[in-house]
Amino acid sequence: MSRSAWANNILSVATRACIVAALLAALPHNRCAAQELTVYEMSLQELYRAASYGIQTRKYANATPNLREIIARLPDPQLDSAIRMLEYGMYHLPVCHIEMNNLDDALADFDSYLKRFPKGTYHEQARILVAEIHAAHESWDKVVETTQTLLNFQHIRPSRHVLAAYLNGEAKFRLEQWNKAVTPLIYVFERGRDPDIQSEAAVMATISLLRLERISELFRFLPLVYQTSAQYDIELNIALIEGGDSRFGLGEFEEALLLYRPVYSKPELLRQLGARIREAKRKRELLYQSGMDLGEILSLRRKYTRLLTSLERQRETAAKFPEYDQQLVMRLAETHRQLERNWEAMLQFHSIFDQWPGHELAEEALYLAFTTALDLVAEERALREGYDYLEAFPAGEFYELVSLTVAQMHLAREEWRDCVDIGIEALDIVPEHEMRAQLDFLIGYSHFQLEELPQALDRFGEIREEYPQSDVKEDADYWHPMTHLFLQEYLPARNEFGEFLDRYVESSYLEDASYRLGIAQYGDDDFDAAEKTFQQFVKQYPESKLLAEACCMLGDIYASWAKLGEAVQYYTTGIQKAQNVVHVNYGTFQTARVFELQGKFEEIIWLFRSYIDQYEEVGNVSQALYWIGNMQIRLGREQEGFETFLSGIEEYGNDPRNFGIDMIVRDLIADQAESAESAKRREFMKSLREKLSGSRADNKKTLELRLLTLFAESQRDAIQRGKMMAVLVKERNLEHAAPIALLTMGNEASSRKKQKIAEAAYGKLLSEYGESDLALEASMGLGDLYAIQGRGQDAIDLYRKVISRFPGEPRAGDAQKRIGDVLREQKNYSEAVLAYQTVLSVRDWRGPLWPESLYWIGECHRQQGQYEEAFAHFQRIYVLYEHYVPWMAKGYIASAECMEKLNRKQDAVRHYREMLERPELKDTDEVKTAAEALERLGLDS
Amino acid sequence: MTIRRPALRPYVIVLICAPLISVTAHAADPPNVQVWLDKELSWDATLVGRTHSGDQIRFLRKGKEGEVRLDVSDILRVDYNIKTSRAEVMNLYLREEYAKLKNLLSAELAPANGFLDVPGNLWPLHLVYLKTLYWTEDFAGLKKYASRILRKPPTRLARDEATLFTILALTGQGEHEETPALLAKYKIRPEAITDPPLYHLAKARVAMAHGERNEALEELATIVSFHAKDFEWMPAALYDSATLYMARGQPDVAIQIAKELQVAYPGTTWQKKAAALQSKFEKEREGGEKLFQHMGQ
Repeated sequence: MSRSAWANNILSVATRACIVAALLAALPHNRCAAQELTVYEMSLQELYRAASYGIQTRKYANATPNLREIIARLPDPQLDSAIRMLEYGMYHLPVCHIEMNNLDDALADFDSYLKRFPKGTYHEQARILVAEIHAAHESWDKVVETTQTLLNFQHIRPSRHVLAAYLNGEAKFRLEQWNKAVTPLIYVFERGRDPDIQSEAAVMATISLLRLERISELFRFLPLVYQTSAQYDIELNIALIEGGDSRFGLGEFEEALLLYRPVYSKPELLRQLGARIREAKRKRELLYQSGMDLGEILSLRRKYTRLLTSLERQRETAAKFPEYDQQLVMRLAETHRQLERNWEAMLQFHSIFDQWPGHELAEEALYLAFTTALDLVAEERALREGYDYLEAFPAGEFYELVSLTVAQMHLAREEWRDCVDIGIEALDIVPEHEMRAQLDFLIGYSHFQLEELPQALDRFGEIREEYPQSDVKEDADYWHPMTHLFLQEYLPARNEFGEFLDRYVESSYLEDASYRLGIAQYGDDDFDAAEKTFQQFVKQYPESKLLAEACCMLGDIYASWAKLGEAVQYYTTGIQKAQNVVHVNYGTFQTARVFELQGKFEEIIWLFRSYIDQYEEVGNVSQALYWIGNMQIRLGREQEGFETFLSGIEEYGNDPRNFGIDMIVRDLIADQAESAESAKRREFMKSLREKLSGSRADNKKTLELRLLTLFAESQRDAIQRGKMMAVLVKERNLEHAAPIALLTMGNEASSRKKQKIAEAAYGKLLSEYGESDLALEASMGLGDLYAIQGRGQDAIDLYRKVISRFPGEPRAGDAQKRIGDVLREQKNYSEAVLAYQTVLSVRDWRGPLWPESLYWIGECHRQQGQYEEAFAHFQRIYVLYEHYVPWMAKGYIASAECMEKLNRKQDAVRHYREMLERPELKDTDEVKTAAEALERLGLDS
Repeated sequence: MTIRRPALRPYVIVLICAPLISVTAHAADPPNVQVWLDKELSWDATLVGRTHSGDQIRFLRKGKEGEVRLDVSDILRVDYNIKTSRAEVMNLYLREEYAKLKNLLSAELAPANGFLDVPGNLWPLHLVYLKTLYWTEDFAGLKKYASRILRKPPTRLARDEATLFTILALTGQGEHEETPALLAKYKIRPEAITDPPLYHLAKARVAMAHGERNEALEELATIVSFHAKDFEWMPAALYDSATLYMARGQPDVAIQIAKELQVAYPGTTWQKKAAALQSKFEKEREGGEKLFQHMGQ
């Protein structure tokens, strides 16, 4: 059954039941005893009584002959009573036909009645019943005609007027004469007393207004409809959805929204229908207790029965009706989105996934929730939606797009680790990811930012090799050499930057790449090429943001060539073209270094005084003071220098990020360690004590801890120092401690075996003050701590970070050597040997680390029973590194011991003796070992 | 010799006894409550008052002699004889006849005034009363009434809803400092209260008061998206979201919502308020456009 046919049915039955019931209730109530006479033998009065009795007792077949006989006997009555009798017969005959379901006969007989009595006593009911019969035949034109005639009468009873209007409106509604239907239906809604009729009229009126697109009128009417049970009519709800769809299609989203919004969900409709059915049944059951007349009870019973049938049919239809809830919410969300009401849209999209995660729309809805959140610039929410999608639909249509977008968001938020994680997960789940190259780039870039440079290099390399047509190829071609640059692989960096500049002449990276090429050349020690590149850069990009850096690089190059004048000139230009204080700092401090080489200490003081004047708010004032103080000391104005230091500490020492103060403290500690006991030192210590008290009084915790560090480390007396250190090394001090205090706390706690505090102190320094020059020492300290704790891999990771971050520093060599130590402790001798060999391969690390590394390589071999190889390494120590006495001594002993192990007793003796003969070794501990060995071997030293 | 005291004249007796009569019920008084001691045991009674310490409730049981005193904790609930029909209350409420409704409710709630801490059948009326105070913007009255309930809330529901109305009263008065703490205090679950949108509106108001525009919009959008058929809080949510969209720099959206309010709630206060809002927004938008044009020139 189509929706409209179904609606026809349900709209008519209940109402018609009421009408018929109402009319039957109006029948005369006179009763007469049944006579055992034929109709021909009965008088008119008897016929009347018999007919009336049949009607009253609902024995319509018995009443019909009596009625016919009355009509036959009164063909043209003159008396009023006879006329009334005739009218009674002519009206009730078709009524009985209706009850016996002979509708055609009823129609013909009503026609006769109305012709004979067009304004008779029963003409109103008759016309309504005629209209009812036409309605049952779906002859809607005739319903209109009949009811219109009735409505044209002026003095019609209000209740019948409402019924007639209802039938009239319904017929016009069925004929799709929407415009004509509206007026009578709204009249019924407003004037009707029966809530069921009102409700059905409201449904039809609403649908008519919708079809007419009389939207503003509809919205005036809708709130009234929603105060009746019509709101739960499924036909109305469907019409609203259709109306909403139509407005949506026309781009009239405001109206679409208002039409979609009142629609009930299918479960809600079913629930409401269930409730109405229960209520109707309850009312029907209570009728017999109501005390009403039996006729009324019967007519109301019929009404409720018809209503129940209608509601049951609605419920059945609603249950069978396809699901629309998800589609409805989707439409609402889309409408909100079209209206730029994105919060509402997003919540509704998401609710589809929440409520029906298995529904076919759930995936698209969640994707739309994600994109809507993006439009809202509600990043946290968008990420949540994105992750919900990725988790719920790993094989989803939008998985690739969402994963890429989420990765991009993390990148934009500088959440590098999250970007790497989601990127890798997406590529694991979808190995053939359509946007693999883009994801690779995001992952690579994030690795780069995380200083995971080998991984970054791999990602950029993959794009270059596997996706040469990708739109991120150019990016990869730039970042690949950039990564080489940061890995200090200058040769491939310069080659690839060179290729880049040849290939991408219009690239947005062109300027950057030109500058980076110079850096790579500089790193590759090709200063000539670097100078040319930077000079060209300076000419080609006079407005570049990198100009200051290029000038500083030129300054560095000229300084290295001892062209100090040119160097200062370029540093000065660098400062003038500086984009930020970092550039200013670099130029200023490099100029100071050149001045230092030139012995221009006064100029340095002047330089930094000007610097402080100009950049006091943003510059590195503490570092400048450090320089000034040092220069004053070097100019022989020691007192002035110390005053500069101490006043600098006092003024800037309460900010943990003034790292120059830490340098001052560090230098002062070193200075105090070397200075002899004197009045000047006593004065210094006194001044220090006063400042320490002052900082306590002022509750300047950071300053206090810095001064305490200086004070403790300046103590000559070990007990005093120990007491002060005990005060410093407290967990509560971690919060306010500046880098110098943290480093001291870490070192001191390590030596006191307070590993928890040591780890926390180093950790805080590295995590919060990683830019401090003291971070290197903290990394080493923490690495050593890990090694002691048996956390070898953590130690190695940290040492590797030190090497990559401070490649030029001697401590990097130390870190590399300690990697070897950790591996050796783990008995991973082959890897340990490689680590030590790395130390030996770096020229900059030449020094005590080389003989030590040789010694440990030998030791690795010895531990594996490889005495020949071990001997060869031990021997190289005292042959090649005579200046490193401790290692030479160890080398001799170890060599001789290897000889013993190889049963070359003579050679062993020769080595012990040779060692004992070397005057530079006579004060070492190993001399005793050698003498004892000779004794053990039965020889005298 | 004894001196005979003069008899008091009748009107003096009336004057002296009047206060007693007003607070003291007698066994002869018709019972005004049904006292439930558990789910199955109840008796009709007349509420007499509280004991001096206030810990116990005093009743007169129907057909029994003597007063019964019960701790509040001994009573499951006390149901009052409500004279006003629900339809009558709703009718006045829907027609926004708040003054009449306030009088009606005051009379209906009066017997329970001293017994707000006792659970009973009056909470729906208290709720309507609170709403009436809110819609008439009597924030001081609302705060006072809600705080009386909060002194010893009879149920968790009453506590939660009175808390939310306190928040609305405070934000209405511009006293929003304590509101986040108040909102967090009882971990109110919107699904456990009578009107879930009330929770979202209160949360939105707190967020608005603290300049958290996105959070506020999310709460309001929750009402608009999932409680659109709610005739009380939905228009309030739309109204607030219009102001927030305006503040967000989306005047077209704000105006569109103001228009929607007028269409969807004809003949209500919201229609008038929304019309004023629309006109204000249109002026502001025009001003903004002029400024933009001026800057362009």
